[in-house]
Amino acid sequence: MGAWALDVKALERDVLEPMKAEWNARSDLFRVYQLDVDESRPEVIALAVREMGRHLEGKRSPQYKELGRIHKKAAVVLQDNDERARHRAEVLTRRRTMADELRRFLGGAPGVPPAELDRQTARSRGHRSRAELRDALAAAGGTEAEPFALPDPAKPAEYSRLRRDLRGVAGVDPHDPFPLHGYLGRLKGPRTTAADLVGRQRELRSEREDETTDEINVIKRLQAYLSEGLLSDALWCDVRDALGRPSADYAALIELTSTPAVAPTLEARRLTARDLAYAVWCERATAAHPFAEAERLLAQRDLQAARTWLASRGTLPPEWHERLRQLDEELTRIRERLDHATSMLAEGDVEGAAAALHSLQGESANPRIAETLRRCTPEPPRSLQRIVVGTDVTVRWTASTSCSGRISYRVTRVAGERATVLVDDTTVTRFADRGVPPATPLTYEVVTVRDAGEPTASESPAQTVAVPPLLPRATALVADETPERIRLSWQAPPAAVGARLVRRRHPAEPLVTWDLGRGVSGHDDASASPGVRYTYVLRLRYDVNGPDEFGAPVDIEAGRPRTPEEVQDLAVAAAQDDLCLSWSPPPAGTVEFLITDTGHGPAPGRVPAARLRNVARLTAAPSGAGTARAPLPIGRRGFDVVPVTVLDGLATVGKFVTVDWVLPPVDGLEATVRGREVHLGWRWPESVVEVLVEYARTNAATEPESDRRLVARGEYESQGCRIECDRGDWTFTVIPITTRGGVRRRGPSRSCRHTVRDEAQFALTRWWRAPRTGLRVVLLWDREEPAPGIRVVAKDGVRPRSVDDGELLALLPPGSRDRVLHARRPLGMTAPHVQVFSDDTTVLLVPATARSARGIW
Amino acid sequence: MSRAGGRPSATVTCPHCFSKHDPRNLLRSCSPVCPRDPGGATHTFPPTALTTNGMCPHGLRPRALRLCPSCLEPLPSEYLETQRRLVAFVGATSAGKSTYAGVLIHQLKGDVGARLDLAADLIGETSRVEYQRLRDSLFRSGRTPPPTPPAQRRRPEPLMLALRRRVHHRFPPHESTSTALLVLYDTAGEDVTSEVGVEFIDGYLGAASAVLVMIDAPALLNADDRDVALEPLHVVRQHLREVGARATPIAVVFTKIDQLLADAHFGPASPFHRPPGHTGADGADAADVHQELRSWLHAIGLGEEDRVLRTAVDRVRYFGVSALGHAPLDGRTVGDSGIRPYRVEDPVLWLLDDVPLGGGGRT
Repeated sequence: MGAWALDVKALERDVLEPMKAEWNARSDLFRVYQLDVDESRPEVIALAVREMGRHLEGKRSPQYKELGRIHKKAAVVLQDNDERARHRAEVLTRRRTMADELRRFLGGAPGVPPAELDRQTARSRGHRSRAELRDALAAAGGTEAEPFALPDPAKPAEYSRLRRDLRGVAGVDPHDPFPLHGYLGRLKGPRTTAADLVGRQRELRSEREDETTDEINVIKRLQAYLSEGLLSDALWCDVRDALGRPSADYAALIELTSTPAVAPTLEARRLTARDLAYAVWCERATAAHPFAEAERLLAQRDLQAARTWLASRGTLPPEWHERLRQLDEELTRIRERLDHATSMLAEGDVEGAAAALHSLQGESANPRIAETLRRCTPEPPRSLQRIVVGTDVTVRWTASTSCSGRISYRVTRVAGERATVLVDDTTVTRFADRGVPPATPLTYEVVTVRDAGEPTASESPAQTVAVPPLLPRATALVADETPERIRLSWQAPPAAVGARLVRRRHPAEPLVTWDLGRGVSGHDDASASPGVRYTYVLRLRYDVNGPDEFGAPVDIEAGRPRTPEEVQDLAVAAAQDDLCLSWSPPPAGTVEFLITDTGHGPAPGRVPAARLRNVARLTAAPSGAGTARAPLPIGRRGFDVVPVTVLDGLATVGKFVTVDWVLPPVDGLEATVRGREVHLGWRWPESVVEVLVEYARTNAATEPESDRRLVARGEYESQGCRIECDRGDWTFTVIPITTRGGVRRRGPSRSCRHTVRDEAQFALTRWWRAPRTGLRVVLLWDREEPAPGIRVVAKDGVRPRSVDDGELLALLPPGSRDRVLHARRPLGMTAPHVQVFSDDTTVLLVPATARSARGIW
Repeated sequence: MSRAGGRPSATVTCPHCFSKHDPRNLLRSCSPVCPRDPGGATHTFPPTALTTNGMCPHGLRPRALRLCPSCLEPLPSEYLETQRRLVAFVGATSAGKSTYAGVLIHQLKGDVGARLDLAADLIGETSRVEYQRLRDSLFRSGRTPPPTPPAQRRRPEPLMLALRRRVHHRFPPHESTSTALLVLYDTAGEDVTSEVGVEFIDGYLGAASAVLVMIDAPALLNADDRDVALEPLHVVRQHLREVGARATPIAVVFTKIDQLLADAHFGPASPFHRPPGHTGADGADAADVHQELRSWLHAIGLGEEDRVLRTAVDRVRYFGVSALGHAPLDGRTVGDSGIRPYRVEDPVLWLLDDVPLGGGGRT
């Protein structure tokens, strides 16, 4: 045998199909596992077991389930050398027996028709599978072969008379199986013509003897057959009559059909002697078996009836005679064993008697066996206990000491006069009753049953345990919290006659109690204070021993939530990789943000906060923050940012902001600050034609100050983007925008920050007191803030580039109330240039006149 | 050479070949339906060939266009009739002349024009094509223009830009349109030094009514590059001295000033920290820049150049500009933040100071 491989078709044909006809797969594991009986290689056997186990996984049909059940045991049998050898011997014996029986059945015939194998399979009632019979047939030297369909023409008219007359014809052997062929053989056989018959007739007339009368009648009849073309049918009937003798076995049939005289007739029918013999044998072998009734009775193990039937047959064939003798012996042996079992029962060995009777049951259908078995009552269960948990009652017990037969238990719940069988046939020693009627005294009974469901079933006396009335608690207690009231609802069993609901907040506070009547399953509490959490305790009331029996308490915490105010002014901007959110903080509660697909955010309004928790939570900001930052959602092109104010478990959905990720952000945002003018520059993405430029003071949380400006692409390309700002730190944000369907959508933004310096003007003039050498510097500063300090520096030839690059002429300290400085032309300078510097680097000094810029001298 | 500008002069300088002609001698051309010359060109003829009723020699109405008798190039009527400035661009290689020209016209047609209420209009097809090339390169492709071919390979075409503005008159109260025509020549840096280029430059400068010398400001910080960067200034100064044209205004434009700002070459009081024309006083801003750059030149050791130039010509003014607002990436690519020009219009406004166009460039 080479590498083992599972043949699924063979498994279905040889194993599963027979199992449908109740074939016992345990009887031949080699067949089931498709192994040769001589297979001993461990790796091949292990492979077969493993692959079969894998094939059985997940199969649902009853046959596969049965195979699954025997698989574990089969694996042990096949892989253990001793077990396998033992099983092999059984299988071989079984196969040999079947082969011998078939060999006897064949009696030298080359095979049997398939229908006969089917019939024998069915007749075995599951003891033999067709595959087994097929293999046994092969072992007996036979094959499955369909016989030829023999022609069955109607007998020609007066054929029987012809046969009778032939017996009187001189020269025709009365024992000749083929008398017609023998008579015609004296003429020209099947080729005899009318002329030949007329010639023979003339001969007979000339003889004029009485013995020729029969032959003359035969000739007349044959002449009629010839004229009607029925001679060949008459010859075929001659053959069939010869083969119809019941005593003829296959060898005799062959001998008959091989008679030379009939060869032309067979040739005319295109048959050989062997074909004809096999066909006739098949007809006879597959005909109704004369001992079928005996076989049926034996299959039903009704040995006594079988013996009676056989004995009434008179003379029996040898094999059935032998079988009758064996039956007598078996019946005697069974009778002795039955007597022994009865005596054991009488002596009190119930289990021993039951075991013996169960053994006998497999061998005989004697009604005494069943009758005795019914008297073998099993032992009752022991140590019956009950466990009550909530509204469930569990009863458990120790198994009965009885072990013979199939031992199971029946559990019955008895409530007053009413008994309910909870489970009828369980082998588990505990049962949980989850449908216990409340407020009712109960008793549970458990009995042991032997062979439950069988005619021989017997049961033990009942063991009982009592359970006091159960008072279940309310179920499904929920609280619907709304700003207007707290609605409590629950479910109570019909046995409850009322409920008591108690509200408490703190042990020191007085309790509020409501006594509710029968059928009430809810209560509205509108007196609770908003924002306060209460505990509600509910106990159901029952009428068992008195009207005030209460079930176990059940409590729930609830409160009237405050109303969160919605956020209506959420602003979303992108700064680098962050999402910057800003809003006007509501007076109470936290603000959370949900990111949803565009247009799929929750509808504005008030909902329980828990309902929104399953939506992606972006970030939460504490009350009063007003700003938050979060990472930009990755991989989402467009989304809505929805502000949700959460307070006391309630959430109010605010006005969402749609961010259109389809619009790409601008690139390379950069700002150039010159004085109070900020020149913004960026690269426009292809699809963007308009942006919103927002500029606000940085850290504007406490001092909101922002402005915005729409910039079209054409405007930007021709004029750029310049913004004038006041002194301070500013954040500039550029947001691509588009308008679709009348709705403005914003793309991701880009931001940058810059500091804008303040400006102050100054004027240089001649000092009227010294028109030729005097210098007057006026700082033009009219704001409330302290004026910056300034320094007037002079340098010969060119303008000084810094305070240190020349001679300091005058100084105005910071915050000075003076705005005017005076100086004189430095001595030694031929072409002095003057420059005014600011001490405050955040203030840019700008010359007010051209002279101020060029210098005064 | 007299001071440039003012009323239309008695002679017309051809912006193409720089030859000077009496306006009355400019050629006329026949209409396209007239018989053509043997070479296939439209027949041209002097005004004297007009018939008494103003018809061409073929008896048809001639085209209104005038042609230069020397080079036969058309002279737009607006060029002939308005105050014009032939401004010569001179600068070393990579000083940023083409970039400056493109950004300047863009600014005059855009932001600056809007601020000063100026209408900038390109005259002639060649001007429009040339500006379109510069604009596409800078503002569409984000690349600085390729190097300008030297004059020996291609003679530079003039970029003629008409600047117009409505002017209000008090006495008597009325409005009129004031127009100035700016003719710019974008020359190659090699033209300053090559033999052919110098010949062209001589004619070019000789015809120019103003000279705009472009100097790569960051190059002055490097002693090795300093001479090359200043060479155009020397050439112009030498030429003006030789032809005795001291009155020709010279605008010395220091380009790429943004790089000096980034390196903190100018202190907090510098006008380069302010937007242009922000002082509120006419000319104060330009004068402030001039003084600032003078001071800077002295600070980096180029005070001698300043003194020589100021004594060689009557009118000189220093300007600091940045055409792009930042240094281009890899030398040619405009950065992501786009083009943010700074003070590019200042030199032109100064050169047009006698034209009543307004703005802060007047001194």
